[in-house]
Amino acid sequence: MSTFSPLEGQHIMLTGATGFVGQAILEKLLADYPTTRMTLLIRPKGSLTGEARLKSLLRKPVFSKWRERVGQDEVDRAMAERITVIESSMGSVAGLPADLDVLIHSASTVSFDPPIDEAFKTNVGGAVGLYEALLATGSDPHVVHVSTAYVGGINKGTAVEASLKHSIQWRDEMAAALAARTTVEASSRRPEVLRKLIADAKIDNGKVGPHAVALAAEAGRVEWVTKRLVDYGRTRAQSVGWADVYAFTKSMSERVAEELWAGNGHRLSVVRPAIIESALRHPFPGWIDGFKVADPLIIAYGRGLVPEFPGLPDSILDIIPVDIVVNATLAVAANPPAVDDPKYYHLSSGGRNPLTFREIYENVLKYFRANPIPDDQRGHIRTPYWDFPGARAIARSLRTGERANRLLQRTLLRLPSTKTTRTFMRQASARQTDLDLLRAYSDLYQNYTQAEIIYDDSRTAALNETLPAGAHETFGFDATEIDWDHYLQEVHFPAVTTLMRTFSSRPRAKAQVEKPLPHNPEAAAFFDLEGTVLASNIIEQYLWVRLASLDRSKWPQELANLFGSLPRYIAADRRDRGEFIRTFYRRYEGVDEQALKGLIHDTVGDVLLQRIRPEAVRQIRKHREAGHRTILVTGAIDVLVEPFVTLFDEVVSSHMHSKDGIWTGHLSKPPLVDEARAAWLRLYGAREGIDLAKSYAYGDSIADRSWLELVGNPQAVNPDAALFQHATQKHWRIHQWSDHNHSRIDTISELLRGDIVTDSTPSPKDITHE
Amino acid sequence: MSRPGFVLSVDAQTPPLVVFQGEKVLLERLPIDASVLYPPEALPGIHSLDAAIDDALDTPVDSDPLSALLKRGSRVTIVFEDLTQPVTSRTAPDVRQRVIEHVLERAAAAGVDDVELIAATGLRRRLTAQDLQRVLGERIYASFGPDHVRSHDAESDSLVTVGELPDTTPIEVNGRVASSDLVISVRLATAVGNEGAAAVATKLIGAKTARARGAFANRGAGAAADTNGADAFDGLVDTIGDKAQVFTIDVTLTPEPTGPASAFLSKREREWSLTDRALSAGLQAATRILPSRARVGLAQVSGVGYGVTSVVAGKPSSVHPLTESFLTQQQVGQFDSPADVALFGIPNPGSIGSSLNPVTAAALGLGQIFNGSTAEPVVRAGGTAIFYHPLTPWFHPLHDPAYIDFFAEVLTKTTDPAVISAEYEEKFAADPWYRHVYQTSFANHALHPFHAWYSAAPAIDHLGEVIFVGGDHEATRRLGFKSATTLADALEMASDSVGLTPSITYVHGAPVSVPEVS
Repeated sequence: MSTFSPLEGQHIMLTGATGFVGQAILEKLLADYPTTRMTLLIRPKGSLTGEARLKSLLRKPVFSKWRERVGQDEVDRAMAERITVIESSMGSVAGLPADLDVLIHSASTVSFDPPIDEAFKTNVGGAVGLYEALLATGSDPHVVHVSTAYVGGINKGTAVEASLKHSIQWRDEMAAALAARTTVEASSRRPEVLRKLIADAKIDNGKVGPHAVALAAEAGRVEWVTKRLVDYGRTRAQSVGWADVYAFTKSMSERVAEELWAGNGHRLSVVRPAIIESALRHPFPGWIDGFKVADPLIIAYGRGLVPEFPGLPDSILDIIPVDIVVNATLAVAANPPAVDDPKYYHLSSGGRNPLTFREIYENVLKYFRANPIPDDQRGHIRTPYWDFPGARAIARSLRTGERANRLLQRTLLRLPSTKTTRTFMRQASARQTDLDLLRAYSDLYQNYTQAEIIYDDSRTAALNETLPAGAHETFGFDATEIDWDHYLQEVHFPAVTTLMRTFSSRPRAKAQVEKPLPHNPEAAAFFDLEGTVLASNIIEQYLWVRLASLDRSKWPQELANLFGSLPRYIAADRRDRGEFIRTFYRRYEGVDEQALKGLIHDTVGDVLLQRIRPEAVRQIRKHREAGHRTILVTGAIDVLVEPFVTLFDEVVSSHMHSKDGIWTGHLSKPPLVDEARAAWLRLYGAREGIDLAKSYAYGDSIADRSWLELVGNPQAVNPDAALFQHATQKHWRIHQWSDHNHSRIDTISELLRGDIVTDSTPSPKDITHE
Repeated sequence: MSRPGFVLSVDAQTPPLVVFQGEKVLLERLPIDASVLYPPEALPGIHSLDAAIDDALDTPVDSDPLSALLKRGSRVTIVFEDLTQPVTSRTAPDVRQRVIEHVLERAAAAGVDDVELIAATGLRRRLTAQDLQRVLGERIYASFGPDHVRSHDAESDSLVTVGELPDTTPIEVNGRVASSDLVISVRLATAVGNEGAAAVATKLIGAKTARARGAFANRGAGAAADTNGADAFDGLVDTIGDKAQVFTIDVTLTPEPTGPASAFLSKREREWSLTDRALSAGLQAATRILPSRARVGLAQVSGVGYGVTSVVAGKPSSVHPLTESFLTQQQVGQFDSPADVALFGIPNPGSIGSSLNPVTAAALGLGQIFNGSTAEPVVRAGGTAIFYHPLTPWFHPLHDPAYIDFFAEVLTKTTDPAVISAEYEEKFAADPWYRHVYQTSFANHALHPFHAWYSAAPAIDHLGEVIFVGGDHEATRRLGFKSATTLADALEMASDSVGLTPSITYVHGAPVSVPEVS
């Protein structure tokens, strides 16, 4: 082994050095090719320069064994003397060194389903920029172009190690891909599309207010554009025989390398690795940098989230450990082909050491049965048995599940919010997460787990045979050496589950301990009234007022009238809170304000007080103790709010327009609801010097969303389904305050008996002038 | 003289005994050899109440007849008991109404125009119009209400200082009362310990005075009621302030309801007639079937009718001892020695619309230790008290806002009355919201839960363990007690401190209520 030193004294340029394979190649060069020099093309990221990225890169676990062996001084020396960083992004490459011996191009997008223009820019545009810059230097390095085995496309049988056979023109495809964004952007602005987006935005945000609808519609448009471009990519790829836009652009980029580099009289090798997974031996068994293609599925399975899977049990999942890929790539680099005769290498296991999907499943099952993932508080998760019922059956059941869940969620959003519906809501959204995951995996892996293609790797095997006898240990890359049971059980699964545990071992949210509110005289606490401080609503308030004021003989008529109009009010409320309030308050037409005040003082005030939530009173008190200003903001009429005024420092409510002391049924100003309240709050904060970021707001309905968002500590109190969903997503504090301390039936019977009439004749008196 | 109290020793032939448990009535078999204390049977009720009232008013003790005290142009205030004393009948007028009607007749005859009626509520909630009508009758309410029939307001601005407590806190009393020429006090009592202090002024003081008087530090161990503050009120028994002379009319009631439907509940089980047995079976079945809210009503309906056993009027300092000694006759006189374990049933009170909240229920139950139907505690120091009550954490939204918060915020932190008094009392007393709902709605005063809790403290000190049979687990724990499902379980839990064969005493019947707590 002592005499075998490939790439002796050579200058190697590496792209994609921060990627999974790139890191491994860099480490291998540093560790086992001591005479080489490297130039790295690194893209600056945010405020991090290329140099800084290299520095942090060298601290990663992949280099740990090497650092241990040679010491930190040697690491620093190597960094200073052996590595040069060129800051640049793909596509605009300037100032490449002219003395390169080898270029390993391993940069590419990691996503399988990016929008078509982004995929082309990175994978094709990147290659074009690089090779053109390289041509400009006039040097003649041996280019090793890292591609993927899946450029073989949707095929059956054996794929050979040769140039791809197809007649797709990369320039045409590239131009079309870049033009696609312009087209899609334009078509996303068509009124038909926008109208639909607005309608969709209204479903979720209609009650929040027009501004929120506009924001959601625009966000929806951007999302629509992205989705559409992804669809452009996937569909175009499939229409020309590739599984996804990744494989499609990678094969286009092979054409770029062939045309721009080999076609201009230079040496080119193309390596096509299959699914790269954790290291078999080097730098240490099980080294992996984040989850790779197959790993999320393995973890999801271990978590019991994948009850069945649309794979063919006899299909081959072509996995190849990263250290074999690295050794093979560097061996290819050390063995340049002749000019005009580019060489292609498959780095795969399926040809000579196949691993079927069934074997993987059995290994995964065995592994997780032996090492189950702990389930917080519930012992360990039991993994499911797979039956491989076929893709169609699974797709069907997945579709059914998705539909059922969507229906459930829709229904829940329309039901009145109770503890039970909130529990269902939580379950439904957890189920949605599971289904989304399943859907994503099933879409993503279908092409891999149903592959009936075998990648012939005889040229790679032959190259491995050329290594001198003692060099196999360090430089060998024989896929037949892998003992799959050992690799999966002892190397790969432990590596990914450890990774998962480090990700998920974040301290769990503990049971929330009530902390005292921070003292801050500049903070304020804004409270909504109905549904938040009071377990009641304005319809109920009206009902109590009417029942207390009407003679009992007129109750049935009034109740029938009110219930008859309820559908109208509910429909109005669903559209817009302000509209509902305006419509409903018409019922107060003809009410004598003085008489109503008397009635509230005598009877209705106490009925309303019975509806107050004790937790709300305590919360208000806590805010006062912390020096916060407490403010009630409500769309309810001032007269009806009267009993609660002393609870707050300030009360902002609606006022009815009156003529000669008789209400006209109109409000004197627009009601302070949804975005009107948000606008008021912003103004109020500025005028009164309130620090909104340190303030609190309590609301119960999705209509409160816009003003809750304005403060630093929004709190949802017994939220309706839509606000609950929103609050859960945004990690808002959700309070569950007691709902019905005093049942409505009791109140009605008390009114009947005249139990809660104070200092006046208990007989009802009419407050309206008919 | 009626049949005296009686101690039954449970043997194999003893039938299951009536035990109140909140809105339920249980029939429990007690362990062999347990003692059952039956109170004396009620004295015969007065047949012609109107004559008895007339007689009392015309021949008062140590006083001129009422008619002679009422003078044209004088300022007269009638003070009457609130709902801490039961409404005596559902069908006939309440005895308060009967007495006050007689008083008003005489006042009218004497040409007195300036009459007001004030409910002596202390720190308790105001009476609703409905309550007032029930207690005073429609006629009185219609002529005086709403402006001249009121409840005492301990937070009023018009309180008048009439003396000083030992700690120099001024004694502030109701302004109208202090400025009256004559204060006519109509008092009701069912048992020793619930007839209140000699001075009616104790129920008409301001919140500050009440706070100082009821402070935890002032309550000596072993005595639940006022020891310290009582002296200061000695000067306010017969007159309040400079001019208000007090004329009292004390009415004693039978200790337990004597209505026809539920009379069997206070009878001795061995003497039950066939009808009683049938009624009992019916009640058992009803409590099983009905939801708990409806059962509240059931218990209220079943507790009807208190008989009037005496009416005495006159100078308070002379009448009060008479009343007290009269009530003593109704106490169980003799029992051998304090037992290791005492059993008490706690029914929800007969007064309308009130289901007991857990704090009140506990205070009421523990009040039995020192202020019960016996002169001495029936349970030894370090013994165990077992109560029957569900302690459901339900609070009346209008009456109990301070209780809700006391239960949720104070008792979750500590049950130690000394700590509670030091850390929380001031906060509650100063809270504007509690004051607001006390004054404008029907909330008990913010100090009310504190005084209730303090009143239970001597009993808790005296006892080794307190167990609630059927108590809501969490609520019972929060109060610092233990809950058991059955009596057998409770005795099992008690066995650690009182051994496997403790002496057991069951105090039969409903508890007498404790002043200031209802």
